[in-house]
Amino acid sequence: MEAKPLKILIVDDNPDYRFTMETFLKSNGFETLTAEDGKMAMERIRAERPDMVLLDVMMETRFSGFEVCKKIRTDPDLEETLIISITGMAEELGVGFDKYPDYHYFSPDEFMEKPVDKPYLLKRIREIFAETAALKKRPKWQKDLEAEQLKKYPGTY
Amino acid sequence: MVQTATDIDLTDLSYRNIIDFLPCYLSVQNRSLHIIFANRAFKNDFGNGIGKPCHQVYKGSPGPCPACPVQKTFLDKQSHMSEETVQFSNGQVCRMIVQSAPILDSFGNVTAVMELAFDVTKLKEEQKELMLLGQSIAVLSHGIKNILEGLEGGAYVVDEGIKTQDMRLLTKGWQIVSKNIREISTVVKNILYTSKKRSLILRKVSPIDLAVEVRERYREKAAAEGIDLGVVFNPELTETTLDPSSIRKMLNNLVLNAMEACGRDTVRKDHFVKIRVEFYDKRHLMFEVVDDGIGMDSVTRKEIFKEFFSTKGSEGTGLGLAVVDKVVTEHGGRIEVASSAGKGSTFRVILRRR
Repeated sequence: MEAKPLKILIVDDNPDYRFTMETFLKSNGFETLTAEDGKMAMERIRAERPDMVLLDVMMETRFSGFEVCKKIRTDPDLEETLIISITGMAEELGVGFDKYPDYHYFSPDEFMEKPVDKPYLLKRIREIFAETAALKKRPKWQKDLEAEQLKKYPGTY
Repeated sequence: MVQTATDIDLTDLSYRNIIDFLPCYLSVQNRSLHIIFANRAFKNDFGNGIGKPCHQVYKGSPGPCPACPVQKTFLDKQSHMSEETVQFSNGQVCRMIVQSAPILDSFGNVTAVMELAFDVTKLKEEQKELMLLGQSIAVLSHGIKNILEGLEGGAYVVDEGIKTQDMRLLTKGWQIVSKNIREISTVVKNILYTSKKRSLILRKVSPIDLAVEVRERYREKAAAEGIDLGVVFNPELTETTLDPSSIRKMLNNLVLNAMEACGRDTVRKDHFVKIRVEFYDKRHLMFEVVDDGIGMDSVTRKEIFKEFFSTKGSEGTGLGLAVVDKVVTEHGGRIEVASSAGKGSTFRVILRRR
């Protein structure tokens, strides 16, 4: 349908996981990019402007998914970047998001738990893109109002 | 007269005996917490503490314990309880439940306070074990879940490969599947090993051969990760009595850890892991696994041998070094760790030659 395929960045420190996701998303018509840590993710986001980021929250690398999320959400240039956060720990290990100092910036468009159910992920990706496309058709005054809000309360959505 | 005196003596003696045979520590203390009486168990394990302050004898500390039950009893004539960590005169540390009771004179004033202390170290350990068990199930199921996700992902890639007749996808997918099968087998073997009491199957073997076997086993994996895995040995080391299969397990775990420590280094690319087999002294030999990976800080170094402790986040189950520790203990050996964050680690296992 789209003239240009939608671009999705896969951020995860496990290479096998990245490969699996790449294979899955490509075979469903998306263009994919990968990054193995938060720092690399930010570089690729700034350079290649993916439409969506599949973000592993608990990476044991230079900086975590939380920070990536915060950086995206507080950067007006990256306002349109969609985020699906994926976590593999929270439930069993009792790791609560609220233990992270910046958790209130943690506002992805969708949360998912590992193991990710692929058909469900695909369904949500398509829905979120559709919603966003619909939102873009809002009247200008509404967009301006929201931009104003974002300036007042950076990090909120 | 004589009769009565003997009677009193006997009664006295039996009270004394009863108190001495009590399976707990009994002491009587005055208002300044100085010990004025102690039973035999107390004297045996803490030395003759008569005339010294309680906290000094039990803990070697200059001031009273924050939760001192004896002081409370002096104030309100009631019995009080606290839990304390104390140290025997031989240096061993243990956990005690301490209970106090007032000794009253005929006017009802507290003249002294009796203190009973029970050793609950074992109980506390069991409590901790139970707590760890709960935690361990969480960590283990998490580890297994990750492996399952890997398997599922690999299977998906294989399926795609078949669908599109893409040999590259097939190969890659199968690699992922087999890697995760290997991982789950390691996890299961480690669980079995740490949860079972087993006797050693001792044989005369060459420690050098064992090290070489382990090197062979990981040669390809190491090469693929850019790690130079080698064995350094003293050819004069002869056969010695060991349980070869557990020593192999021990070395496997140490080598795997060392390679992971190298793999987690994001700064340098080329690394080495050396297995060294050498005399420690006349009667002992040592296995050393040396790496130049990311190393550990002192806090981590203290925790590593605990079951289910892991710094590897989603990757570790915390069983690897617990297995190593078990093997070494079973062999009556000991283990030394030297490590410096950012530079690498050395694990040295010292075993008796026989």
